[in-house]
Amino acid sequence: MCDKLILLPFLAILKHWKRRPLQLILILVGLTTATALWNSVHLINNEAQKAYSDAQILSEISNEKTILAKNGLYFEDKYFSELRRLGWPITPRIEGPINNVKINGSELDVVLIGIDPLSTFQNKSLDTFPQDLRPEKFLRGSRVIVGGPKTIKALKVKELVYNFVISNHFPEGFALTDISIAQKILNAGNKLTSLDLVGGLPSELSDLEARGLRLKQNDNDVDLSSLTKSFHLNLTAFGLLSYIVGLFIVYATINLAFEQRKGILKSLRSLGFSAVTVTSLMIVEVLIISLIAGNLGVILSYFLAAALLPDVAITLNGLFGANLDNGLSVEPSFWFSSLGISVFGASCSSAPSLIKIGTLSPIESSKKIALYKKTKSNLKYQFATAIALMISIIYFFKFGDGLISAFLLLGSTLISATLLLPIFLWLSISLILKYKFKNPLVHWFFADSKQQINSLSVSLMALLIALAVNVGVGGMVESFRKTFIGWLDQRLVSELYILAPDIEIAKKIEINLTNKVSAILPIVKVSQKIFDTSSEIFGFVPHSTYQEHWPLLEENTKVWEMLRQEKGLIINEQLSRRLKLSVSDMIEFQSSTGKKLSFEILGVYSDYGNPKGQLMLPYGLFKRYFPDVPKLRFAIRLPKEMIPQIRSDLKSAFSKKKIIITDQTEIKSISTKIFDKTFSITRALSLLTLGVAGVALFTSTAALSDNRNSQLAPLWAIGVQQNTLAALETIRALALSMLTFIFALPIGLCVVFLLTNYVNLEAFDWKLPIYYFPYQWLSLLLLTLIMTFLSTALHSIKLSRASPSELLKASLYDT
Amino acid sequence: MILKTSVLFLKIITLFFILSNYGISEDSNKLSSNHSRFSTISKNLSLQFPKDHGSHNQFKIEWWYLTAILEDEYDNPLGLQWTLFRVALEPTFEKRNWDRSEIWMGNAAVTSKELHSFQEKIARGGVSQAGVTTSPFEAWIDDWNLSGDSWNNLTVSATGDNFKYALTLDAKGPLIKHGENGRSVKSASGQASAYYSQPFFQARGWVEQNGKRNKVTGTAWADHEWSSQFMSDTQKGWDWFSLNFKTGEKIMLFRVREKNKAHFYSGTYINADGSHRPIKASEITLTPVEAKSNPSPYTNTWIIKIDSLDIHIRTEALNPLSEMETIYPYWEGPILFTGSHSGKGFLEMTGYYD
Repeated sequence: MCDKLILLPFLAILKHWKRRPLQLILILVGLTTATALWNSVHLINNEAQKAYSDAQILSEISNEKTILAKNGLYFEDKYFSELRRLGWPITPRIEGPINNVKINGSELDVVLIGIDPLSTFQNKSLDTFPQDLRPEKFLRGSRVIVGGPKTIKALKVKELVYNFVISNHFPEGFALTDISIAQKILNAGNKLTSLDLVGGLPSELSDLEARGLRLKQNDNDVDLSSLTKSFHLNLTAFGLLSYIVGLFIVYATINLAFEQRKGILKSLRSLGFSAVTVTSLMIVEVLIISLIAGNLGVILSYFLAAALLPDVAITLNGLFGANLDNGLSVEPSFWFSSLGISVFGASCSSAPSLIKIGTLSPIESSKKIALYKKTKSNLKYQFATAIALMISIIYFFKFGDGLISAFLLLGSTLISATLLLPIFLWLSISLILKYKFKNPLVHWFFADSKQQINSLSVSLMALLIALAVNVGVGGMVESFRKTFIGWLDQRLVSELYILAPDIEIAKKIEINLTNKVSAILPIVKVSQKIFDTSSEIFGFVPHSTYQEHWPLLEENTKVWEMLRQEKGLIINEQLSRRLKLSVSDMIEFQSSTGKKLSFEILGVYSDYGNPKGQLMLPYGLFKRYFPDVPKLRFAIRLPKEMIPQIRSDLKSAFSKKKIIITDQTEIKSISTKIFDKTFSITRALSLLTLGVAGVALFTSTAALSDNRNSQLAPLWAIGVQQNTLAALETIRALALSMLTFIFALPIGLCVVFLLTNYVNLEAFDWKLPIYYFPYQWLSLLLLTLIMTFLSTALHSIKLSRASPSELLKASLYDT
Repeated sequence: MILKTSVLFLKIITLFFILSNYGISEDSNKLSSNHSRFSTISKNLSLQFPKDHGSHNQFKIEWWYLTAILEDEYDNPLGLQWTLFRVALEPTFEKRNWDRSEIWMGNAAVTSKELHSFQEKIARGGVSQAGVTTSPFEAWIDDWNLSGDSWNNLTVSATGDNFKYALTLDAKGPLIKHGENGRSVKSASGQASAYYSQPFFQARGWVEQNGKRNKVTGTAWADHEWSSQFMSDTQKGWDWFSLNFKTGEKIMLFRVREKNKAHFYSGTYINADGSHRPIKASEITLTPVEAKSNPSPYTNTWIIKIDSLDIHIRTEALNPLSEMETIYPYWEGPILFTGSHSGKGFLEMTGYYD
């Protein structure tokens, strides 16, 4: 009995959806897309996070301090035991690319790392190693090669006969094995590439000197996850934005459904059902809907993430060197949290309606929805909120610091603009209405549009966010691209880049090329912490090559002359910003022997995408203060037509010596490719947001269409053609979208400004010049209009095809 | 905590290294496995020096063991240990460099009445991180070593986290070959090792523990032993004694514990002049005196009776907490004894954990 008492009113409430299935579908679509977008971003973030922790494994087996050969790549492995006997706590390592073993789709050879597990893991905590990677597997039979699934697949193609162990926790592109095996595969018998310190540093550094070895401080402190933080914050912000846009749809629909069900709800209250019972039934309804949408959302998010992940993988790999596998894994906990997100979203969007039910009086007269009356008071509230938000914008603008506050600034700007949109539309149409139209239909058109602002405002707000984000992100990405390509052109001036394996070969290369090419420019570098900033000190010849192409942001008027006279150095923008140093300041760092050096800064150059500080020291000075750094890398200037000749000359002269020659165009094309992929995820997400806004628009129009008939019926009755009415409906939607676009454009430019000047600056330490792309805006406007047209098409078609009796009925019902 | 984790870690590595190479993951008793490809100790064993001071690669397990009973300037008793183990994982005698499947382990300890400090080192064979040469003699692992022109004069040194020592050792007597010409039988079924000792070292040097350095003097006992199979499958571990009587005589004594039957006993009685004779199993009565409150598996007090030599003594550990918490945990430390004879010695108890 009791069950029936509850079931009957519940069925009565649910019956609404049977009458208006479209509304139900829209709520489901809104909630599903909101959940899906938010979740897919999280899936991507999780996968990336996993990749970092995998990459962390590699840094686990590389140590803070490393001993390297003074000249060249390899040294004798006997030094390992010699130094151990002198008390050096070291572990040997040999590392190198396996020739022509590439992961499918990758340009790079798989890098094989050979270690001695006994000395490597001596001071490492077991907890840092994922299950698959613990040495028990690694050491089995001492013939094991561990690697990710793709790497192992690539190795198997090479027909290396070893015991391959696939580890899902190992970064792709690297394989780990015992030193004995690595020496054989790399054809480097009795050779090592480094000795890593696993304990304290003994005082006798002369032990190294005597063996032609040198100590190198590794800069592992550049934390991958902190580097990619901004990337993820970016993604998360987009996820959140899409989620909110999706919830706009849900809110609009649920609110409408509530208004339409007011009658039945009141009847239930009159029949004696308490407000609590009715509210509870509505909550159960919302729960059921949100659970269905949540599940659909998880499935959709999986597909979405799977589609976006390859680009993210390339992005992270290209930008930060983090290796991301394309595979996705969904865990039960993820499923549950997704459902939670969906339920939370549905609860938030239905809360206002639910609260209204609680206060619904059974004797309240059944009033028709008088949207226009509400419009004005709503606008007042929105205006007040927008003003409050603007104050916070000013606060963040003036006092904000850090990435989070940069994002908050971005967020408040978007929201306050959103809140101001209806006011803008209201004022715009009011202005138009001041003009006395001769045609009453035109006047009616605008007056009616003004009245519709409130009911369409939710979807128009969603559209505004989507448009502003699209203009903003599109602008940033394009600015970024333009700058980056320009910078590449400036930086990669030399025609060829050569890397020699050791000093002997390097010398031979120099001799070989002298008189054949226009310039041989050595590139040498050391890593050093300069006032706690991870930095690289480069030695370079201040050749005209650099003078003509190096983009200096700030400079001493005689910078190049002074560099040639070894009277100072230039630093990158990042270092200048972090150390708060600029031209004519002195910068201090240490020579390889620990001697304190101080030089004048002659210029600051832009260095996009570099997370580290950089310092360019004239080669003579570099050689004097870092005599132990071998000169192995060269930039070669030569006439373009000679490139193939020189390349083949070098290849034949040094065929077996493993010198690496890279063509400038090659580097450029790889870099551009990486770049294009870098922001494809951002682009895809911003377009998806626009899509969601389209759905929102469709929802609102569809939801309103029932009421519209009753509002339009009188016009039909006085003789306006159905087709004209339908066309007017479409034109109004297009006009409102257009107005929204006009309002969104400056907001979007504001987003560009904030992204480049605040978010980017906080995240990467470099500013980006802003460029404007009117063609992009034009295509966005076109896209918006098409989308608007499509989303209102159904309603217009229905209207034009409505039978006179339907309109008559609507007209009568309304009176 | 980190130390503990890394110790555990090393145990896992080594165990796995060993097990995986034999494909005997169930048989945890690596000392008693059947290794037909390794050599066994011949019944006609004839030790040749200095050659036999070096390593015997065709055998699976080998160790060089030095224990010293010392006194500091304030007459405080102190024990000291320096050990180098060689474990061949596969009979890859001919293989050199990183290909060689051999692990070396070093154990060093300093034990006073209050404090037992120890350290373990582990190294890979084939690349000279650890090893033994004969002329001159040198046994080493990293920067720990035991070396000298011959076994008459050696120096020993090691450094741990909280201890450090360096001693010079002068032999005042001959090398002692245990069993029959150095073939020391370990079980009724004939498992045997090659085993000789230099129990006559006079030791002098310094020992540092927890940053405090003291000059020390005393005696030291060196053992060198190798085999491919120390124990039969039915044996679990051993209790080994080296005893220095105040009167100058010495005794080496051990029992190998059987799982289900009578334990295997053996020993050597050494006169002050170096003349010696084996002690038969039937002559030995070795009784652990269990203290009821002792939670550890190790016995602190032992009664040793050898009626044929009129010996009836009771030994006590200088520091009962002398466990070597190494990859293979065992107890090793100085003991003091009283009764028919008195003196000092060393006790080793192994195989008490499965």
